[in-house]
Amino acid sequence: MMKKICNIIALLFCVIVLHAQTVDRSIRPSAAPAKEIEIKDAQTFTLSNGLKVFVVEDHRAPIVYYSLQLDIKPALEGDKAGMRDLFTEVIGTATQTRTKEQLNKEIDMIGARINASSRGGSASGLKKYESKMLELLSDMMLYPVFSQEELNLNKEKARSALELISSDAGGIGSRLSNTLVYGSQYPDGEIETVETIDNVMVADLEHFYHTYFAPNVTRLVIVGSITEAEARANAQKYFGQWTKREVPVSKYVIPQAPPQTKVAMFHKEGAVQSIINLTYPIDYKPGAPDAEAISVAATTLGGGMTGRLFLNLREVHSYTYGAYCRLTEGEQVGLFSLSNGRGSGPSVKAAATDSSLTQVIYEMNNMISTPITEEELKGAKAFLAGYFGRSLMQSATLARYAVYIDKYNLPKDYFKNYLKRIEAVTVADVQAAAKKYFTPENAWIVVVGDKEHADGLKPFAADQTVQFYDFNVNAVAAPQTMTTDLSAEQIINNYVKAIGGVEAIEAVKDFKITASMNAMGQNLEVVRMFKAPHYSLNSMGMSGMVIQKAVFDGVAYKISGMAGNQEFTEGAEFEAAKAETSVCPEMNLLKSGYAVTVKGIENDAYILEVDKGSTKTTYYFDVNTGLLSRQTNVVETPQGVVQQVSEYEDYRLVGGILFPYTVTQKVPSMGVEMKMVVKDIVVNTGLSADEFK
Amino acid sequence: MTKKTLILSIFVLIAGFTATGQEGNIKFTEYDLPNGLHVILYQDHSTPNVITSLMYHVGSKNEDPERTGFAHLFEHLMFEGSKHINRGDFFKIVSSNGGELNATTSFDRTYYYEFMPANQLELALWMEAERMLHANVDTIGVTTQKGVVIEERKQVVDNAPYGTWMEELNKRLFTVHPYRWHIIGSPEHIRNSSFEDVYNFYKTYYVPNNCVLVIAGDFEESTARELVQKYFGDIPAGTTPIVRPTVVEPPLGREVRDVVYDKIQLPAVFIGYRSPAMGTKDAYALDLLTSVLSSGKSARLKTNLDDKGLAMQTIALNMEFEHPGALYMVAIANAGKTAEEIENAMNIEMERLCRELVSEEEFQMVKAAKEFEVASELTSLFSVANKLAEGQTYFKDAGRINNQLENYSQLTREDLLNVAAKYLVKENRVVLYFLPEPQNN
Repeated sequence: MMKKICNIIALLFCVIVLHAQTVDRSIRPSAAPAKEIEIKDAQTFTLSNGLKVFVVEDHRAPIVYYSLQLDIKPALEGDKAGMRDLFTEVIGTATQTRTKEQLNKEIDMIGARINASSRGGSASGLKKYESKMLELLSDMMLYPVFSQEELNLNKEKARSALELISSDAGGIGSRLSNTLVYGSQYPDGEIETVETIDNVMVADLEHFYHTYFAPNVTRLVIVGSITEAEARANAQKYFGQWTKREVPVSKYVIPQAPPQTKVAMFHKEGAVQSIINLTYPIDYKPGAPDAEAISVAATTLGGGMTGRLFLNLREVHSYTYGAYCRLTEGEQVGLFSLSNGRGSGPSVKAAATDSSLTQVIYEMNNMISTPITEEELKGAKAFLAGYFGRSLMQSATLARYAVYIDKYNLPKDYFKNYLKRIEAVTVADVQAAAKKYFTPENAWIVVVGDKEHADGLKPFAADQTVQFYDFNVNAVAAPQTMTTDLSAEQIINNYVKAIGGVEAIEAVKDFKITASMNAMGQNLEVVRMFKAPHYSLNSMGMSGMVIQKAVFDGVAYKISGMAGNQEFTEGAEFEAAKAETSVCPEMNLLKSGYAVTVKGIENDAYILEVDKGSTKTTYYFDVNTGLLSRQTNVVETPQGVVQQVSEYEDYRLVGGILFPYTVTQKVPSMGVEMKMVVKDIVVNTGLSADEFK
Repeated sequence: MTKKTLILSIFVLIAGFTATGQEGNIKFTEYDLPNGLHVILYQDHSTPNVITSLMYHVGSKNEDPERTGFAHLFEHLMFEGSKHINRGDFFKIVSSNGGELNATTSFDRTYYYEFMPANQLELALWMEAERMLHANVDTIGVTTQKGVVIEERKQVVDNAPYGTWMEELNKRLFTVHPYRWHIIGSPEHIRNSSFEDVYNFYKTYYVPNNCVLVIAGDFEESTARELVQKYFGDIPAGTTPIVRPTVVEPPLGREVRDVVYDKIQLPAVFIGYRSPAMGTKDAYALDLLTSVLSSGKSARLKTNLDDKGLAMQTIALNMEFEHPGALYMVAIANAGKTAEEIENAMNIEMERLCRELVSEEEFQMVKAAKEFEVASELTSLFSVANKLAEGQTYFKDAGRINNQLENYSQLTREDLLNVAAKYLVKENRVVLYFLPEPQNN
């Protein structure tokens, strides 16, 4: 008894203690007072040869980073497109005094990362190896050797890289988008092909180096465990002897948005997803007066997991794993594009290719026609401010800001005033930016996907046309199906032979198939029975309960079950059921009186199209096995035209003929997919007519 | 192309220059709440930012073989809201308060984080407590996220060239251990999962006694302690026993070889070797061997495959697994080269590692690279938070962050040779050729 009381007291005590601790979780905590964000200036100085140096000290780790950044506008590459990429691979592989092996070994011995490219070079590593690092970087940048052998090796790799991209939908999409948006008279639009890579010679690399590598067009950024005095001494010691020269500046044709929206497609056979993009050049340069309004507009539309694109395409529709947009500034031209967050356009469910674009355009127009809410404005501002605050955790950011101000000739306090400018943006500013920069009616819509989705894209084009492109971005005719000399009769005969031949088929007097099917998380039991000459039964049930049953007995076709009962003794339903009541209904196609057309070969399958009036059925017979691999029915329903797809796999021999053991049925427009797996098939067990009721 | 990736990685590296210490200098405090939540506090006042991260000790290896993909599906569900956070608001609250957040799922753990302005620490703690205590695990969320996960699988696995390589290797490398299925799981299992399955998973694994909370950045310790107590103190400890797989995968015993046909242009060879569990001496030695093969400019795979024009790209990948796991070698052939040619070249390198000591120079190279790697890693607040959480989750020792290099400095060249001979042998590996699908015509 005493023990019990103790327990009760203990319990009471617990309750009291818990109660005292209980927090009202329904109250969302508010922010503590904001802390000041401090932006340190970078130290800058210029060497006598024109090299501008930017230094940010950060002594918290024993690491230093040096980066030489060329600021140039090189000539177009023309029929040598890809030259600068090859230059990047070859420069820094050997110098006048070091072979490739020596250089690689010396870099690795200090565990540093040192690289050169067509835009400059960089080195990072432990402070204790700083002088060695700089000796190597300076050697690579100032005394490079461009060898034929290294060029050949990298040409081979470049060709392989092209092959790699040609099997990557994202890579193809970016290639198409860039070329279409920028055009061939702008560096980002030039397109590398096997031929243009072949055209690059060692002399081209040398010419590029001697024309553009000069201290007077370069900035040196130094970040890390270093003092300004050390930085000065090192800059002078390792890059002071680099000689100044006159560097030419090229003029490009500035890309313009298309006057009306165009649709471009690359056909990727059997793609389960389409890569979509909607993209166009915009007039958005660094330091633009409406830059912060643009940032807020881009954030609201597609800046991360709270953007309207993400919420619509992913969270509401499950079309995609990620959909975002970007408004990128550029020194000469900016860009609007969609993104999957990893560098290509969003990958969307193939069946939702057109619906996804509809939603993207809807969201763009909505930003134009309706002001964003004050709450959205506040949220986007906080997001941008937070992002800015986090960017300062990296000392390299301070150097980057200093370079940006210098390069684009902006006021010294440009970044110090960034948060103030963000704060000043109004809802009206954002709508004005949306009007100016969101122009879905002057865009390129670029899709990489199976051509079966092309028709749905026509309405997006002002001219109602989907223009196909090949890998080298040449406009091509819509991909054609291969022709075949086989007649419908031959194809059907091949199929009949493949499943066992006429004799074997006719020897089947009855069969019963038991299967299970997964549909929307439920396990369904499926039974199919046939008995010659004219009995069939299809039933579908769940946990022993019949959901639907369809019986044909030669006289009537009866459907019964949870959705109600129906009976047909004539008409389309009756005729269809009658035709299906057979071991091999395809055998009778030619006798049916329907128009049967051979469409050719696609996807390794002969295609037969049968027009049954309100339904159009397409059969795909495998070229190699002769077997039916797929069947599509296009049915006109009150809700519009619906496509149903059945795929047949895993044929197995039972009672002398082949039956598919796996049948997948899909209604792509509704995202329905049901897989039926056969558990058992029995043949000629003497089913009685009584069982077909 | 290879060089561009390298350059990119340098920027990433540099992006890590933050206000943290050096090797051995990460000073943190830690304690347990009575409900079992382990709390680690690491202060860094250099900029006004703070990370709140939670590592739950659950990954794909805790899944039922008939319900693969659950840990990852769950990661998605945790963003669906909670009792006091409406569906779809989770992202919005964080970003409209200036933060960013994400989560990742591995074979062994699931990790969530919010990266916020320093004055929003309380908000982050409130949100994480919300979803630990009463996340919105309901049918609407489950249905939406099933769809999203299935698209994610298509994007990163099915529709990507070579995208199935790890799944194909692991299912041959492991026969009984749950590492045999992929983190993203089977679309069929995901589609068929019921609400009960999902809810049980939540009640079992998303409990304070299966979680490590790290707060890193600009905050005061006393404030953080108070807030942690306020939001996590009365969350009850879990009562459902946590299932930790104990099954031990028997040795592979023989070389397994297979061919996968994919929509690709260039043949590729993917080799998986069974490897020791993380934190063992063998694992550190194998890590250095991986560097000898592929980390620097004079690494062996690079000089003997890439630089000879055989391969377009080679990678040796030493992933960390809590249980004995796998080490991967990948080579994508240059155009015109065959899978056999590149495999032969890879085999020569493996056999050499098993036969000869690595050179003194190579040994110094990989140690220098490791020193730089560790120093760089410790300059990123994000990496520090992650390392602290991992140390606690897997070893009950967050302090491991401060002696990472010791584990390597004790190794000798002989250790490397022994480990090569033990693991990098044919009877311990699966070799997969990825070949282009035969053409139609």
